[in-house]
Amino acid sequence: MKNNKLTGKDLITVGIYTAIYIAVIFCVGAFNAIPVFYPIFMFLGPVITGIPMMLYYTKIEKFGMLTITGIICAVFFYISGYTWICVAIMVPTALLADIILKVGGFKKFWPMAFSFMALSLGIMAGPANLWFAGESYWDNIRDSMGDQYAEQLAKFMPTWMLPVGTILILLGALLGAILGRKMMNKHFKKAGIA
Amino acid sequence: MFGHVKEKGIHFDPRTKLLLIVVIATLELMDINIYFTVAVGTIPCILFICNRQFLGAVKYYVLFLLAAFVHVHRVDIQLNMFLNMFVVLLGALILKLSPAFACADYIIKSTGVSEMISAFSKMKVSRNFLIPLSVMFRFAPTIAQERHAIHDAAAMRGIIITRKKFWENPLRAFEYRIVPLMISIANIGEDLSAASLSRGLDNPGIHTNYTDVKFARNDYIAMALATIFLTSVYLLSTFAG
Repeated sequence: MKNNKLTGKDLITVGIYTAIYIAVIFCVGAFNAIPVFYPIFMFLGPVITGIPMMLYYTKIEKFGMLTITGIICAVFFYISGYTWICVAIMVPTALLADIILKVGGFKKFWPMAFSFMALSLGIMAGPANLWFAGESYWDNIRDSMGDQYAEQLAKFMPTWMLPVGTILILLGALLGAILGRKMMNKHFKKAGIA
Repeated sequence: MFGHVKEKGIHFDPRTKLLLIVVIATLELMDINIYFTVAVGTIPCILFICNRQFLGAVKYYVLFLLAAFVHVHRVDIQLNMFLNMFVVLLGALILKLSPAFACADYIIKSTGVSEMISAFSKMKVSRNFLIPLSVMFRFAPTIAQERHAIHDAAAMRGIIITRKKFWENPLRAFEYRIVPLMISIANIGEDLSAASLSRGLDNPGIHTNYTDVKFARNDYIAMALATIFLTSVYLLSTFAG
């Protein structure tokens, strides 16, 4: 069984954990309706997804699984109202995560943590529209969400949030990875599934 | 065994449905004008009626029209700031997202899994995406079910968001929710892969399918009607209004 093609078992694993990833992100991301939560989400999102994703990482043994996760996430985000920018961000970050894991080695903690940090950058896809889609996107928000929301959003999400947000996500992902490992040792190993 | 989705109402090819959801998700966000938005939002309602989901159609359309109403009158009425923001925001979210979600609901309720897979393989979607996608569709209800069961068990012990015990240690409470969920889902996943492998998922040959999908007269009519309807509303609302 030492071939590098993805088997049916791998693909089923991808499906299951992608479903959980999307479910958790949507639950946490729903708080974005309140502008204050935008920066908080960027930190909290990776921390919470850390637990399921670390369990996912223990099952990854082949190149390509994370890329498929990224592409499926991108399709879901596209349908739920983010623009092409989310596809342009999520797919490369997932590919990067895959490459890091491949180079670093599977089933080792630090490559897993760094790869998860890269993968988590994909959730930049949500806020990224604010900076890259230009004025028309802002007009759209102003028109549909009301002036108050747009003003608040502009207050909490200025352009300098791009680097700060990136750092927040990276820190959150690192914390999430550590939390995930802790959970792994505490519960999942005992239950015999990690 | 194949009775999961009963043939009822007017039936479409899965590819038509997928085309419609992509069109709806794209157009609904383009924000051309309110008439066009309402016209796009009407399509899922018609689809619901075609599938005889009358209750769903009424629920969705009332909610959608309410959101459209709020959207039109959002400048006229000024409540206090926070409430206003909340109502306008909720209205906008429903207006923008509910058509695509309603359409997704229609697709899931009206399409059998084997039919969907047959359509996807005709569209030459790679097996690497097909299997994860179908697992996800199969898994969404399972996750909800498991979550519900865990919620009930936790509520019995008083770990529920309205109780004091939850807020004494929210992180711990969160752990009590997500860890059992992960464990049960991982186990179900193992079972699922064992089941599908024993039925020859990894067979390298060509996989056949009982259900064959074809474009029929219905599909052409639906696509033509949707195109004519949207184009005419677009032209009318842009040049007359």
